[in-house]
Amino acid sequence: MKREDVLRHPAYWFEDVQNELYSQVVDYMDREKINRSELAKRLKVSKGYVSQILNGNYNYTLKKWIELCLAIGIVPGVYRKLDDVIEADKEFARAKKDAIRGETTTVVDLDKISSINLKHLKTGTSTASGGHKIAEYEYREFSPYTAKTVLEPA
Amino acid sequence: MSKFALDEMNNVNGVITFYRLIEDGVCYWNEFCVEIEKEGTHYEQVFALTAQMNRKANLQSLAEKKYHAYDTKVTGVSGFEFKTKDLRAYGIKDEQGNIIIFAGKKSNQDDDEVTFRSIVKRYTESKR
Repeated sequence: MKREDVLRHPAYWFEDVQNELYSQVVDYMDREKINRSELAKRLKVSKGYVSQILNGNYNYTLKKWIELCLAIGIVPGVYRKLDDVIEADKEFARAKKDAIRGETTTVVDLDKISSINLKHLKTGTSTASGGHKIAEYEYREFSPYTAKTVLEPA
Repeated sequence: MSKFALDEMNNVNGVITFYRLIEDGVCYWNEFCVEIEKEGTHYEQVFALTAQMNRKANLQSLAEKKYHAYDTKVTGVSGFEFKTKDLRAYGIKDEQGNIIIFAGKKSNQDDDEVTFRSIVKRYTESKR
């Protein structure tokens, strides 16, 4: 299975959209300093509905999805050309290979970064909260949701 | 004693590199993918597992239900598990990076857990 085949498969994007929605809702809860119960109250939904979102298993109607996004202050849907995404993905892989010239590994504790949102890293931050080193590289303009990715050695 | 090698997972593209473990020429992750593809029923979930790994490789968060720490029973070796409805992928974090060791179905989790820990033990001992 090639990377391009993965990016062309609906199941990959279905999972990614569910996970991104989870991430957006968790960000919203952090920003607003609210718990699950308060979220359910604000969205006027059941706790079960909130659980599905926070388990990363959201699969309701398109209408519900739009309502949820707007309720947490985001606009649903980012439409990009598939070919552009595949090309950006290839470009990132090439940039990474160039960046790690001479190095073979990047050791990162995944548990320590599980709550880090990528937007915090855009300015070149290379440490997570608490000063834990999360990567050997400096990031610029990196996001899987932008067409261009740049990765340079720190 | 088994011979181990690590192969970069090219299906996962992020700032963090993921490897798959190869023991005596056998890559358990690849064998799992081929078996699941042959069976057909859960093949889409392999793409879901890959999407989860890709998020972690890009420093993005995942729900606890989909990714969490997993006890390897080997001192000093941290494990993790990626989960979909029916499939599981088990890995470890060591000085080489993040390594996918083994994968299986939820229905066979008890046996897979034993296999996973046994491979981790052999791999760890091979490096001493």
